[in-house]
Amino acid sequence: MTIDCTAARERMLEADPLELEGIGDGDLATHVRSCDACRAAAHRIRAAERALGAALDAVQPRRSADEVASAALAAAASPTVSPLKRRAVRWGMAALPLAAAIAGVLLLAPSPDWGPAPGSRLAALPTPATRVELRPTGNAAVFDVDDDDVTVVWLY
Amino acid sequence: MAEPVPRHLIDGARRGEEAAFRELVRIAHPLAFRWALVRLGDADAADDVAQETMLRVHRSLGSFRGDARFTTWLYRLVANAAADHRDRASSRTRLGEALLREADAHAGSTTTPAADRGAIRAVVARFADALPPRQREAFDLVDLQGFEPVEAAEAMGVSNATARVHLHRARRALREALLNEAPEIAEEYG
Repeated sequence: MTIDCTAARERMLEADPLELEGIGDGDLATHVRSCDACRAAAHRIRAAERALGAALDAVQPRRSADEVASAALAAAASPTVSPLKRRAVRWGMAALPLAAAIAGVLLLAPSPDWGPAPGSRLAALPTPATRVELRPTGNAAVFDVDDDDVTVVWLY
Repeated sequence: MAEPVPRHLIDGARRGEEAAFRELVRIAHPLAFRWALVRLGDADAADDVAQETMLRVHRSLGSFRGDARFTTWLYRLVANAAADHRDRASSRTRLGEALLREADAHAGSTTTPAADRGAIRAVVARFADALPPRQREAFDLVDLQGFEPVEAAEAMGVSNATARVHLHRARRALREALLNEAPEIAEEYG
């Protein structure tokens, strides 16, 4: 089917680049090959789009590929904490005051029902945890108390 | 579009071979920068995103299964890194300024007629300042970088029909801008 210049102009607005260049058997490509005016118009459209592509190609990054590769390799060589472990550390740090409070309550408020038996070594423990150590690579907090034989470990 | 990164480089980088990874970055980094530039409209932001993408490539290469095109996988990494990037200030203006500068430099170094320079500036300005990002992406991938429409759709994470809609709208917007700027082209239709 042959098309006139008006129809060709409308089709040019959305045509594939190859059609604008007169390549293929489609109606527009056939018309462009046969019509000097439309071929010139299509040529200028393509020239402008190629200039746009060239302008995009010309915008270069600040950092070279080698710099970027070196940065990626250096980052891989540095020890990092995974997001999951970072989250665990944050929850652990946030829960430490609560854990310390619970440990203090357990140690300082013996109940007649479940507290340490009178005279037992546990009953003699007057102070709460004197040192807290958080193990960031694991999921445990260690509380040391005055009695060297007693260690409180809180798992979270 | 042919796969630009050879398979042996991907396999070598996955095995931890530094030379293979460096060569892979030499090929992939310009692509990542280009895609980020078109998506974000800012060269500085694109530079940051391209570097971040290469970091993610190194970290995630072990998860690349090879059943999809590496280009598609790389494009998704760029898209995710761009989404994480916070700095979007004046992004369209920066892209437009950069592209017009390059277009003017190119026209000045060649025998481009004045009328065509105006048409080129119109197309460049419309691309940078008026096209929605998805239309810019589709046009750049297909008409400027040679992706097949189905490849562009896969990279963009949209259906073939959606990618074609973006592409056709971009073409129409750019070519209408050209015709408005260069009415003598319209007159040539008679």
